[in-house]
Amino acid sequence: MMSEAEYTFTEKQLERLRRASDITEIQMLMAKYVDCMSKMRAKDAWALFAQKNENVSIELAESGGYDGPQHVLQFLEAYDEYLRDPSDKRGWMELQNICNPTVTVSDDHSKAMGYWTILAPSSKWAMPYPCDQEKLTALWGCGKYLVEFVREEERWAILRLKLVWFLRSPFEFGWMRQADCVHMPPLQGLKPDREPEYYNVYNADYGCASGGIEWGPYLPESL
Amino acid sequence: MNKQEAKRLLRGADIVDIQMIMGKYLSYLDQVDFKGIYSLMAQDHPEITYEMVEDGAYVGPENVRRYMLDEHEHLNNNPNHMKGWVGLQNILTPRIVFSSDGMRAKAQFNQLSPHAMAIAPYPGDEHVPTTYWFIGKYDNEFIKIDEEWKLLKTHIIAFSRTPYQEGWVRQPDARRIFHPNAQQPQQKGRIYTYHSDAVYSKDGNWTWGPHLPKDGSF
Repeated sequence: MMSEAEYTFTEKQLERLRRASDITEIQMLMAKYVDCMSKMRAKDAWALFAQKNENVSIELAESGGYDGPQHVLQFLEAYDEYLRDPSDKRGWMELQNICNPTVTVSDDHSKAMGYWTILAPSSKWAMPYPCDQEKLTALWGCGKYLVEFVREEERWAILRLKLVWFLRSPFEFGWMRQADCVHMPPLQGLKPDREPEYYNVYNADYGCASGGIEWGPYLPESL
Repeated sequence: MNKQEAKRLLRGADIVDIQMIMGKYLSYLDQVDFKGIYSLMAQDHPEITYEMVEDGAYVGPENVRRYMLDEHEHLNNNPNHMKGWVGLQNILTPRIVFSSDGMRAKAQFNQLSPHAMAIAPYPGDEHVPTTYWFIGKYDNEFIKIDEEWKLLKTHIIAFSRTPYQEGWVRQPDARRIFHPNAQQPQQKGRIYTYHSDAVYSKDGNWTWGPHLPKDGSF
């Protein structure tokens, strides 16, 4: 099989290489999505989505779910406008770091699903304890992206993207004392198509043993 | 395998290679081994650059070589300077784009790291050992030489070096790098520190740049 001049892959080896290539591309795609958000250019992220697929959707935290190409684009445009508006951006920070990439690719390489945990040092106008005043607050954000992808000819594209925050905790208090001090309401002028599928804020009184909390959503066993 | 598929697979290998260079870079950094870091670089290339936060950029083969050797000797021969030192750099969210000919890559890696060093926490009138969070990113360039990727330009950017007790709103940055080696940088330092009174917006003065160009645009 192997000589100095050439190497012929078995079909199984080739399959492994294709899968590794898919996963690498998908990781770069997610990094580009996060980069659009760091640049505060949400509308640019639309180029990364499966724009002609009727099943495309986006759901960022508790701002609701937007389904279909027209509504996803409207949402990204509205979010872009929000990020342009300087009125509440004094001291604004949301540096999303995505970690623990876990990606499953379908056997025919036509679709994939992945999740990434998020650790995001942030600062926003929020409601830190005792919650009677909105003020610029340094906070830790921890959460998860759950994303479905489709293969479109020469590239992978985002089909469904969900962002869940487990905690957005003031720096000075920590997540036990105040797990969540800021919310993302529906954007002005937009009505979501549905409630968010996931809302999973940490509570120090929950316990894994009781079944009261888990850190989902998770990937299915296969696609 | 057709040519298109072969190109895809090789691009995947490029991305993995570049990420592994950064992994080795950090491994050397953890060992305070600047000679090791230097071994990852395109040592003879005229554009070789090393720029650590606000310390300025060292440019060109001879300047970078001297800087790396000075840094190696200084940090390894002055144990008092390193007392209580923690600089556990974690790089996250790798983003890599390629030149149109595939011979260069620009890459950014976020950084969120626990540190401890002698810096100036609030009220800022004393230089004392301090635990702090480093928040920033690497903005690097790589070049392929003889089918091997090398680090061409390294730029470490700090958005915040905040004392553990304060947080980035109350004291965004309690440190300014001071390198005791006498060599002057060839380019002045650049500061990217977060400021709680700055307005961060899409079209405003501040986002979280510098940002990467588009794939194939350079």
